[in-house]
Amino acid sequence: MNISLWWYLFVAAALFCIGLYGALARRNAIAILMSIELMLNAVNINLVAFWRYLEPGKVAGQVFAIFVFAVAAAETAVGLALIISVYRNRQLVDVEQMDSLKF
Amino acid sequence: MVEQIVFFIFTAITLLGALGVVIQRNLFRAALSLMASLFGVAGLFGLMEAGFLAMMQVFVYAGGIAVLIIFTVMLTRRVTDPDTPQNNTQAAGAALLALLLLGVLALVLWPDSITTPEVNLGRLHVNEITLGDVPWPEREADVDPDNLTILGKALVDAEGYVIPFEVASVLLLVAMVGGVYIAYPPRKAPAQEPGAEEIA
Repeated sequence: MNISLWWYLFVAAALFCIGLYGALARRNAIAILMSIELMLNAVNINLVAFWRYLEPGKVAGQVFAIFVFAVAAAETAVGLALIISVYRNRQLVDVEQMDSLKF
Repeated sequence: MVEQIVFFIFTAITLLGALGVVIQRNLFRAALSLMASLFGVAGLFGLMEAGFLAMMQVFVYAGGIAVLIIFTVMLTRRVTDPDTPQNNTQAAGAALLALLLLGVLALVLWPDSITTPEVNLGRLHVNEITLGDVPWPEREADVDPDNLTILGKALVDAEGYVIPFEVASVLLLVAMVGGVYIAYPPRKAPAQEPGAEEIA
């Protein structure tokens, strides 16, 4: 029994769903950012798995994964800077209380 | 057979680490779980013979992003008290949604065909649907040993991905400058010039 493509896809789906739950259910902004990282990782597993099983002679799958890395790094840097800025100004990291743009 | 065992070990590390991220009340432990999960994903990349991506995963994610997150957890320590509830009021609905999505995805991914039962509830009538029966490909040829060379050339090739590559570098630069600017300590309000109060 070889490792079939759908095994990897299922792992990625499970990882994505865990990240989705975390992003929806957590109150702490840092925890939400971590959950988003999990979801991006699930996407990367999918990209690499499709590359390996369908087009191992080309590079597109790996290139896409590398761009996901770059975008994730940028997103984390700006997101954490925002969290630190909000914490410095209002002493909170709870997204339920970050509502000064709402009213 | 060894490959399957390694696959299951890395899968277990990845998914248990991910569960730790969303369940742990202590944010510092959640960040460490995230690190474990990212290492598991790196192992899966290695298993798929994408060695460069596995290395990048360890450097960029486990080495960079996870450490950055741990720093932020430390900096916001006072308000991330483990005793405060970490979930909001919609946690149960979110869990239900995530499980539902996982169920639907599992139905789609399942290799054998599945026939859903016919549902007949008065007005609501759903015919039986046959899903699955996907001819998932097996792993075929080996990866080209020069794959990394090809990848590197494609990233800087005018016929390849040089424009997205440059745009990504600009994006990283902008994110770096923006991150420093946003997180910079607020400057003190400029001292009032003498005489300003009188005019006001």
